[in-house]
Parts: sequence; structure tokens; C-alpha cells
Amino acid sequence: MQTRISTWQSSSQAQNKPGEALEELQALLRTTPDDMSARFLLAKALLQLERR
Amino acid sequence: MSAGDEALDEFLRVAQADLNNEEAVLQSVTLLSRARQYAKALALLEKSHAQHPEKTDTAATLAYLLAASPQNDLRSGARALPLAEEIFRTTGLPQHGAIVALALAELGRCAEAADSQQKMIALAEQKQLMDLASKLRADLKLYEGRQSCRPAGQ
Repeated sequence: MQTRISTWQSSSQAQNKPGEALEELQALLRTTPDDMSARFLLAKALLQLERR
Repeated sequence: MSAGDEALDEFLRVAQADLNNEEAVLQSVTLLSRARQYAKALALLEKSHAQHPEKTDTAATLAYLLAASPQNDLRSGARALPLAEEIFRTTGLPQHGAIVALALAELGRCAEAADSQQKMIALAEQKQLMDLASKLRADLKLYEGRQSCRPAGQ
């Protein structure tokens, strides 16, 4: 999972495919709620989804 | 809850955990302002600026809200002016100089606001920022030849 997060960060997938990113980030945050890097990406993905 | 509301919650959690994350702070402020929660937006900016005074975008957003918050009772032209002047001294950017003009307008110093704004229009044109120059020129009309030129509130 952490590898996927790194991939999102490097490829901006949270920006380009926010729906996909959302589900996996939410799953990750259920197990590690204090992961602020993942939470930040989740916030960006949510914002991106709203703009579509 | 909409995706935008959820995004605000998440940005706020990140910003409150780490005020050094300027993007999270400013996204929170944008979304709070959109939701007309100006007091909360201002409080977050104040806290972030107190901890990280070197962050220019945060300082500029704070100065802007102090000068021209849509909620008039949150404004403080007296605090906005020195902050905006310091930011402009640091960056030299016309968009930051325009906050000086806004603060002067909030203080009722309309002629000085107009003079400052004219200088920023010239600076924007010199830097080939024509869209910005055009916007600043439109705002200039709010300051010129007026006895009262406070930025419009809600």
C-alpha cells in the first residue's frame, strides 16, 4: 500500500484519477489514521472529485 | 456531506497537525472562505503566520483577509497595512503591493490607496502581467476621488 502512495505522489494520480486514489487512501487511513501524507493526498483527491 | 466538505475536513486535519504544510493551510482557508466561515479562516491564518512568519503566501492571505474580509467586523486595516508593506518589501510583487492599497482603503486613506494602486498597475505592466494590470485598474476606480473607499463586505 505504501508503494501505491509513493506512486500517487510521484505520478500525481490523486489529481488525475481521484476516484481510484480515494478508495485506497481511505482503506489505508482506516489502519493508519495518523498518516498525514495519505490524508493530504485524500484531501486533494476529494477536491479534484468535487471539481469534476 | 459533499466531496468539497470532506476535502475541507481533511485539509483542516492536515493543517492543524502541521502548520508548516502551507498548501493544506491555504486550501483550508479557501474552502472555509467559500463556506463563509471567515472567522475560522482568519484564526487558522493567524496561528500559521505566528509559527511560520517566513511563509509569504500565508502572510499575504492574512493581510488580505485583515484588509478586506467580507465579514467587516473581522477586518483590521491597522494590522493589515504594516504586514502588507513588509510582504511587498520582501517580494516586490504588484499583487502584494495591491494588498497595501486595500489596507489603505480599509483605513479610509483613499487618495493614498489610489496612488499606491496606480504604482502597482505600472509595476504589473512593466512585468508584462497584463491581466493583473487590468484587474488592478478596475479596482482603482473604487479608490479614486472617493471619500469612503472601504472594500465591499457581505
